[in-house]
Amino acid sequence: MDTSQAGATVAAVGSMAYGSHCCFVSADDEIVRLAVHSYVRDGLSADDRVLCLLGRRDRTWLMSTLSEGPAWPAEREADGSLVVVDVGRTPLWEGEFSPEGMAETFFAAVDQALADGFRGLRVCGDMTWGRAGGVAYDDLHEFERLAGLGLPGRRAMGFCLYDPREFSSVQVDAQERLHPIVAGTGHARPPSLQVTDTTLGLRLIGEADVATHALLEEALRRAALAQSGHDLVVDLSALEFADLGAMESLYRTAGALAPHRRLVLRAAGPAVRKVLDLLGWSGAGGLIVDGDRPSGERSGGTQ
Amino acid sequence: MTGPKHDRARARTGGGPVEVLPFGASDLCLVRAVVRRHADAVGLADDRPDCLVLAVHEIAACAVTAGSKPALLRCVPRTGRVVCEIHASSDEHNGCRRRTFPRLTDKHETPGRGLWIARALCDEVEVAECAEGVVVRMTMHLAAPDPAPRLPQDEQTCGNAEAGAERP
Repeated sequence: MDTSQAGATVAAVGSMAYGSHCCFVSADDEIVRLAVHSYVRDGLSADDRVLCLLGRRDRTWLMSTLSEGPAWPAEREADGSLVVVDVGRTPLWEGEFSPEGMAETFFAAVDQALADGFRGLRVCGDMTWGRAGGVAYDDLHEFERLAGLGLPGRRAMGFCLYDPREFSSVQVDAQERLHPIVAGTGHARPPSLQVTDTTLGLRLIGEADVATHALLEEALRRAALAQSGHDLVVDLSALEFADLGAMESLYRTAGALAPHRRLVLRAAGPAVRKVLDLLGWSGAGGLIVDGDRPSGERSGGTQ
Repeated sequence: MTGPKHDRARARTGGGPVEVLPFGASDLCLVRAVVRRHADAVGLADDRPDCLVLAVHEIAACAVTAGSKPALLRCVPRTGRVVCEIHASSDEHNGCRRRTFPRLTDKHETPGRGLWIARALCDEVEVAECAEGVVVRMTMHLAAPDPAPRLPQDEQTCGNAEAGAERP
């Protein structure tokens, strides 16, 4: 873990106070774990009730995160200081979701925490809880707005986790404008494509699109030079998506090989085979599609 | 950018809730994930989910070329089919502008190749233009429809985009 990012994360969490509403943006799982652990631990230490709303990151993930230190999650759940809600399994509302109704539920939970003898309420939300509960993004955004308006003056704070792998940059931008505090490691996502060398050429893993175009082009150029004596084999068995640009890179690389050499695509998915056929590239210009993968087999296939 | 009011959570179409995703040039992986989720939920089989994902991806990429405004993905699951729309703004930098759209013969010309391949992969593709920009609507049925050829029909308005369909 990057120590400067870790330090900044702990500092951001440590600056939270009643009335705070923080948008924490990160696709770094270790950083998110650190942030949640720090936030919950600080709350329990301060005799706050901590309410965790979970979505894609579920109860197992939370308990695993909290077990990495003296938080004693099971005991704290038993005494009511830690409340965990997997929204996909235990909805917080009846019937259709409404932002106004959810905001009322939120503020009632603050009052209940105080009535139960806690100093205040800390809410930690993995904001994919909205999707897990069938909530449209616009409604989630409106709830965030209403919650933010109601937090100042209450003994409560909100820590909202936005993973750039789950929310678009447009949505994250909107949340960053809405929240008074923004922290985390930002919009960066891990690269979607990995390229590994094989004895006959390359293996592509993940998704190849415009964001990875330069990486793919460079890998193909390097492999074409390294495998100068025989066919260049590109293994697509672990490729989950290839856009037209990626297919064109393969086609152009094949065309640039010496006349006696071919570029062989191994285990291409049905969509790649179909598109290469449609474009007239399959079997043309030195590009050979070999080793079909069964239709519908996704992992290991391309689109 | 937010979705149309009528999309907000309560819109039901017989196949589940409508999902709206505003997206930029760096969000194409999310576009694919949303389309994939809807294709799987409706029950598309064989290579049809992959074909829909690739078609929507290519149109989405066209809609958010560098410097353009965000675009919108709208997925409408209906009984027995899924409809995916890309709403592109009329921003002058937008690669999806109506007048730049290719004809069916443009398969080797970028950027028009994306629309050409979408038409080849989806059961129905409709293009509509309105004051706000361009809407490309792609439909995939549970089973491939009769492959009888239809005449291209790409002159539509936004309000009439459900009416026409084409398949190369």
